[in-house]
Amino acid sequence: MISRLCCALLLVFLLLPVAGGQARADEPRVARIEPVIRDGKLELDAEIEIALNDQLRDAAERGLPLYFTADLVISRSRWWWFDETVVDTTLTWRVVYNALTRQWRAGAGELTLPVSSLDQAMDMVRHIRNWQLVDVSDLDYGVTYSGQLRLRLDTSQLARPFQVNALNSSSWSLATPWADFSFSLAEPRDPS
Amino acid sequence: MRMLLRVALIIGAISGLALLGLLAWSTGNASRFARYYDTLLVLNGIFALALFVWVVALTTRLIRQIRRRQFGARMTARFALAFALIGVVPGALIYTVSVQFMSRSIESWFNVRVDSALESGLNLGRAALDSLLADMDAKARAMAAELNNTPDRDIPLALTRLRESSGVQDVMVFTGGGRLVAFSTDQYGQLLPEMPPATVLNQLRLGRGYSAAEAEDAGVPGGKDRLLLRVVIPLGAPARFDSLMSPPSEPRWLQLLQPVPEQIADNANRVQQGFRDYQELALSRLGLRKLYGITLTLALLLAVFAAIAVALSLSKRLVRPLLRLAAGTQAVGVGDYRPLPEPPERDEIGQLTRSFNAMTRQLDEARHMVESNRRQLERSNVYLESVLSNLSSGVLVFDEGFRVTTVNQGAQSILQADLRSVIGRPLETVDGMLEFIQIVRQAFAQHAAVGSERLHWQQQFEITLAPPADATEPPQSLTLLARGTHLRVDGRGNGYLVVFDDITEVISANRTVAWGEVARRLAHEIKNPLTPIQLSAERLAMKLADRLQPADRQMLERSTNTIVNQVGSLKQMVDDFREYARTPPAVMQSIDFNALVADVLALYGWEPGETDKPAARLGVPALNLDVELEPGLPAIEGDPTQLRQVIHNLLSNARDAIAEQGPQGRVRVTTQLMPSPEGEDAAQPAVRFTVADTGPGFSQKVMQRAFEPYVTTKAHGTGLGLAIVRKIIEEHGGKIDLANRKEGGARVSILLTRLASKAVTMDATAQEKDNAATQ
Repeated sequence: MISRLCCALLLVFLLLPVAGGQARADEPRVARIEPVIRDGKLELDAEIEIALNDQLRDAAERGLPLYFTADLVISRSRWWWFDETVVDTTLTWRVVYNALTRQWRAGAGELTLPVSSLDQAMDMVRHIRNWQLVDVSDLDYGVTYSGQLRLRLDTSQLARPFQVNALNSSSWSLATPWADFSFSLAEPRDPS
Repeated sequence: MRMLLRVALIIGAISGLALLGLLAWSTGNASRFARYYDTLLVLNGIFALALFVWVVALTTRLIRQIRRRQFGARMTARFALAFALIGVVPGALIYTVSVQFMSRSIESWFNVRVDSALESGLNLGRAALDSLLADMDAKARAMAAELNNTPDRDIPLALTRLRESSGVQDVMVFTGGGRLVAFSTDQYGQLLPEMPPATVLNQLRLGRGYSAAEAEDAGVPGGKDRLLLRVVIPLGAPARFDSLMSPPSEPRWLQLLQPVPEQIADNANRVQQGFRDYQELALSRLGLRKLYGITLTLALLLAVFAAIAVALSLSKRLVRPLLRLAAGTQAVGVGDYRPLPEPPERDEIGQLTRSFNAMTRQLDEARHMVESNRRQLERSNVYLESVLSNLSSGVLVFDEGFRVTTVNQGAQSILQADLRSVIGRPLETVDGMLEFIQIVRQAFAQHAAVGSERLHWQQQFEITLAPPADATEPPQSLTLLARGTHLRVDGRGNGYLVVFDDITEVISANRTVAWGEVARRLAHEIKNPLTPIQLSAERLAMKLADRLQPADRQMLERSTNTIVNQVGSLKQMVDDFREYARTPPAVMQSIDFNALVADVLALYGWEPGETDKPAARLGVPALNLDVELEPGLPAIEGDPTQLRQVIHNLLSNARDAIAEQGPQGRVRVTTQLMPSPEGEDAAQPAVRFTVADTGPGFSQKVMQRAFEPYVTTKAHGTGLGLAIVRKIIEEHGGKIDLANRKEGGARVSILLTRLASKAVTMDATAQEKDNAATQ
């Protein structure tokens, strides 16, 4: 197990520096995607450049919870049929301000942690760490997997009027474009 | 197909309504369908688009129909416009009002007072928490002062004691590195305390303490947050002897943890939630307006399009029977009387169609009746015309200006003129009619002048017809009996009718009768004195002859001879008269006509079997005869003596006619058995006897009066020959006809219709057969 942990390689990561590199700086984009294997699980680290606009910031400071969702799809191409989807998962962060205690909390899933400011909360969202995806045993070695990742403001968890807002207001439809990446697993070299 | 379409329409309408209902329902936050709002929005949009396309298609079709001036398109358009207005205007009105009302009311939810009240509530909560925190802070400082003087090993005990005395839930002492020094809690079962979160530790590193209320996020929006008061203050550096040797000790912190009293926490939380909801609403009002606006607009679009579509199709449905009626009217106008298909509905349109059909039926019947009447009228007209044209009398109809309107065949043949082209013009325009029309007009004028009660006048007059230009004959005169009537229709005159007959032959027959009477009387009166005159003259001659001188005797003899001769010829003449006037009654018997003809022909030098060479016999001049006697003629009834005279007269006339031609003149004699005329009994044939010569023929003038006594072309002759012939033939019930042959010469035909009774012959043969049978 240990051996696996250390030597299993992360061979990987060539990913496209994403077209966002050339795009405008304030445009949200996925800056880096790094699939790694830790403890026999495929995990994902990623850096996302995303900034809240004033409207969202104002809304958040008024106590409106904001939800951010990362969508991830990893598939394996099959020449004889549609691509096989290996992973199709989402991760949702919640950023909320308590007006009474004047405290920010942020976190993925059920668990939220107090953070000192909105920017700190957004940092959690920007730096995706240790997103456990799938057991390595479910993957095959030497096969190239391709994946797509994006982060978006999840309006579906908001009240109905915001959803309508999101339909036709760009400030409420914050999202990065899909970022493609691909990787493959190298045979683990057993040092023993 | 129509059924299918209808079902599809109904399903479409229902699903459209359902979509709209779902959309309206899904605008509520609590609705189950809320998360399908987007889908519903899209579906409704598609539905509206489909309706729009339908409406556009219907409208363009209608417009194209109007452009083409298709019948009924205008009416459909008008109906559709009216219906669409009825549908659209209230919808648009309600839409405007709703949108206005909605945006106003949404705006009215948010005002400064509510805003500030909520803000104040929140501040109140904060203040409450702050005061609790200040209280805790004071407690913490008291504790810290005490703990600073407490040796490390006594801290846990002191902590517990202090906690109990101050009534705080958790008290903890920990180092800046996060190591737990001492902990005390009033919660049972909690052995390991929870270290302060990283944010707190971070703040501690920077500052001199931490004091804040914390909400434990329930993780669920709207969930009940637990409020904690956390106060962390630094403890003084331990001034102890034993620690002198030890490295500079880490800073130590005292943390007090106390849940906010439930009631305050509840209220504060409620205020906070209310504030958050209000803020959420305030932030989302634009979205809310958009939400309702979009839904309302979609509803309006659906309603409007549906209304227009329904209006278009409904107007078409409504107009269709009217159009059918109109088309039917046009069809009737051009004579198509087929009934329209009657709609099954029992409404007014159906009733109208039925009445229309009844009307066309009646029209059709009336038309048929008129047609049949017309045909009947035509038939009767044709019948009348044929009667008129076959009438031997002449009929002329004039209008008030004496222009000819009708002329029949009889008139043309009597007047011997072609009058077909004179119709519409006065009769005077025809050559030779001047005399006739003048007499007629004069007669009408006189009749009108006399003022007779009789409706018609009658006049007998003679006219002279102008001979044809190439004819050499003298003008022919006709005796006409004409009757004229002034036609009156509806009490006013509108024409003249003249009916006339050629009575020349009637007059001629009357003359014959009159002559017969005159001759009989004259003969009687003259004959009586003739014999005494003759006897007296003879006696004078006998008695005086001897007493006179020879000279005187000669004169006497000459005179008496003259007297006797003249008396003789007078007698002959009187006998002829008597012959004509008083033919003895015929004694009818069965005779062989051929034999009779042969007998008479024998007198003219003809012998049976000898065809071409008439022998000149003694005293009889030779005559070129062609004789053709049909063998097997039936026996006829007649008086042989009289018939013999007929034959003799005719032959004698023929001989006289060709006398000047010498050897070229020929006479043709034929007997023929004629089949009976059509329509009569087939057992009634007739015998025809014809004598034709090559002489000059009859002149036109003679032809008319040939049968009258003293009409003759011969230098010497009484002119009684043909008159006698006709008398005899008429007594025999036969017919006589005079004609000129086309190749020249005259021809006289006699038709003898009285044959000897067949019954007698048949009886005889039957008797013979009987006899043969008995033998």
